[in-house]
Amino acid sequence: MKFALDTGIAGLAKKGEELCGDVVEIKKGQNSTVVVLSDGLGSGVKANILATLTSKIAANLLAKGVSLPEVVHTITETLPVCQTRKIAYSTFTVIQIDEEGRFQATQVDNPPVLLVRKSEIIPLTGKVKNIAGRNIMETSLELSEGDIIILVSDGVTHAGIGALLPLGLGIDGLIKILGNKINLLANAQEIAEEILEHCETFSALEPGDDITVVVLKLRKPVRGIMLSGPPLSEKDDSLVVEEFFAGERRRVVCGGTTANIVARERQVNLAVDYFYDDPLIPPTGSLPGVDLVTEGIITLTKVVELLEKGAVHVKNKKDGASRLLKWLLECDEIELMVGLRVNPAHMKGDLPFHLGLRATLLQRLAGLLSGRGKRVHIKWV
Amino acid sequence: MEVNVCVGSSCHLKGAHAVINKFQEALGEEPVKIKLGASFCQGRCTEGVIVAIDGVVYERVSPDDVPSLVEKHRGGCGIGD
Repeated sequence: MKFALDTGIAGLAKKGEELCGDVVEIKKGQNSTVVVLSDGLGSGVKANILATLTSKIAANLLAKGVSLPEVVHTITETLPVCQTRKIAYSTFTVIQIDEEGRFQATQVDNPPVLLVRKSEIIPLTGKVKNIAGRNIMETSLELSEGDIIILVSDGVTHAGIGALLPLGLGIDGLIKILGNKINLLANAQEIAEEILEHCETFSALEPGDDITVVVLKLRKPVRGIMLSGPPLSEKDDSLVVEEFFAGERRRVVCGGTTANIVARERQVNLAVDYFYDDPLIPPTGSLPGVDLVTEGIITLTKVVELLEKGAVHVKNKKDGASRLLKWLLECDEIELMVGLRVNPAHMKGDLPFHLGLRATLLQRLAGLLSGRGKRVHIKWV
Repeated sequence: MEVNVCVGSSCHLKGAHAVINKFQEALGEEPVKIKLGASFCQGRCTEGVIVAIDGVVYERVSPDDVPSLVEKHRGGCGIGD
């Protein structure tokens, strides 16, 4: 993996509408990410349905390996044209970025996609093709680290109409704001939210159209390693700990006995907190050079449960499982170093958890993280 | 008085949290200074909850045992001293 994608989305429905008629669909595949921004005709429920249809069809077809031109063809051929207005029901932009930084965009009637490279802000142009009566612009280029891609719906370029800007912000206005007012060094979500705030201000807080901003930033992948469980053979303890600390990456230790081994091998002090943020999850500890130390099985079980639930809200939580999950989600590439030694103290009888659980649990965790676009590698030790 | 409660997986499941709470209550009442701390697995999982007071290890500690343990070690008269 050469690059990882930092994504940010911000949006606002037209004044008086519950639903936004712009829909964003992001699908992370094994080697590439697909982003679709679709703007349904009109506003409210109807627009939302049309945009949802467009973006879902596009993202799903692309994820199944159908080529971008074919997908665009399918959508333009199949989506209906409005009887009264004689125009298509939705406009859309589809982009695909792979891990090597190869970028492809197809734009159908949306405002131009912007590329921010160093201090330059460039609206992307490309070959214009006519597919099923619609003008479709295709662009492909190689991105490099630090490049930012910005997709907006026409609610952004029209921001201010009927309020502070008679002709609307326009793409030139947006470029000016990006150049002068917005901190482009911030993360993708912050940039997206800042652009949205400017649009809201120009509309005097009463947007006349749905506003959506998608920001994608190419960055170096964040690499992390988790050590969980003592190595099968005690002889390997020092080697495993040495490998765990090798290279430049973020680190967590997940397991009390494992943490004790690391402390012993490194001859450092393991500090364990007795404060319970959540009585169901054991407290955490700290080791020099390690981002986080947690208990093993119970914490991991909770992390898997949280991931299986789908939506994750761990931002302000302090318990071990939430912090471990946050750490995992911040990484792009994760190595799970899983020790297979059974704690002799666990062998003695009446313990309420199953032996061999760790291996199964970590395999499930690996699967869930892959599903979120992470590259996960398990190493059994 | 130095108290160390194991919060490893097994002791956690056997009620380490309640034992810690009980010690915390005692912290408030005692004239003796109690330094409360925690540790991960001490390798005696089947005997949990494991608590070490001034170096003396106690097994199968329940919250109900806490007052008498504190009483026993009050004034630094623990065996570990």
